[in-house]
Amino acid sequence: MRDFKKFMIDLRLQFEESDAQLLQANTKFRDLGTFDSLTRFSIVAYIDDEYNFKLPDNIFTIVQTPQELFNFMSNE
Amino acid sequence: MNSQILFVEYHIPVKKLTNQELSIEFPEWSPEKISSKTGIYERGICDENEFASDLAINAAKKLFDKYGIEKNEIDFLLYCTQSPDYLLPTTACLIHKELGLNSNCGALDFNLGCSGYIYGLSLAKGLIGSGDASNVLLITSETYSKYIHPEDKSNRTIFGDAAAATLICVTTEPGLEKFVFGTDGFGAMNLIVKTGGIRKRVPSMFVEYSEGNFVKSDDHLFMDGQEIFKFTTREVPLLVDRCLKLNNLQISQIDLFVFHQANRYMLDFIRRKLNIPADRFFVSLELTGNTVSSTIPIALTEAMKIGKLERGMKVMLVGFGVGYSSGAVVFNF
Repeated sequence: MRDFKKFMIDLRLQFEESDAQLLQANTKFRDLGTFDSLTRFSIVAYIDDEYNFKLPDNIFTIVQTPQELFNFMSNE
Repeated sequence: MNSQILFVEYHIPVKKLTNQELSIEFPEWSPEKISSKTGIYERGICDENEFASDLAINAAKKLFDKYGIEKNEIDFLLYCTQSPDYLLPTTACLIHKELGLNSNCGALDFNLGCSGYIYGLSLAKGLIGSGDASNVLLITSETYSKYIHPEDKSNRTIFGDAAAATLICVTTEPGLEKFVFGTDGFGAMNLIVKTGGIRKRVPSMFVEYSEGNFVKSDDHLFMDGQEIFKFTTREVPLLVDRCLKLNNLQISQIDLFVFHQANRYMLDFIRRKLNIPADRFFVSLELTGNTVSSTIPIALTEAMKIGKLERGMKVMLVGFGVGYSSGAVVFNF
């Protein structure tokens, strides 16, 4: 069972500081100004490293928020 | 026989492309957003009639002038480029002529991108170690701007044109230590210009637009950013570990790390993954951008200028990219 609090801390590390502070469980990624391709790549790479979980390349068309991303990983 | 990096110098085109100019063309990206993500504020861009060989000649002349190098003593010219003047002859012969090097000097091109500087150093070390050469001039030069589609905002933001010249000489002191390399041709299609070579010599005119108005064209540079990011973040830490082990070193024993300057965001990611302290990890691409095979020698030059790199230091260089191709080395400066 993954720890959602740790997951959120890890996720915030992938964002620029201004947006990291705004990121909550139900924040829509697309509403954050710095959520661009490089951020998406780094989230995918970080989750692969840290959680040994390979997200599909189209993950951000499937999930919109941190909570949905966490749920996706938990349900797989 | 040992070999040592003696002098480095670089040249960038006079014409610059700034973040402000990019933002006018692509208003969805502000100048601040571009710089905060990439670490780049401007990049040199060749004029229509300015080519990689011109940049290369300028870089070499700067090196000769600055350090009073006797060009007749150069006995091998290694030229790294993916922007050759012609399919043949090798551009190194043209550069050799323009620089007025000794007719007994060997000269060849090799085609590599972001790993090219590491491979060039290794070739130079091999030539010197075998006793076949004493003074090797390594020139890296690239003009990716000529391959990039005008509407390709991602690649126009990242890449800049530049050349760098490095003199590698025989020495009694230990200079360049052991190298490690990596090759993975399965990644070839992820960073490619498909047409213009012998396999597809004629332009295909194929152009496709994807979500976010990103353009993909067979006649221009194509980079699958996500795949390149995955390759880099997966392979580069392993490459660094291999290089450290081969040289019986630990991260704490390296005074300065100089990686290929792909973009600031990716460099930060790799640095954190490897637990390298920020003060020993040199980043320098603000005014040049990602200049492919020249990022490492440009960073070395800048590090020397500000006193971050001094004689006696132990330095690790790491190059990685198109191919996929990668390499790393430790050297005693």
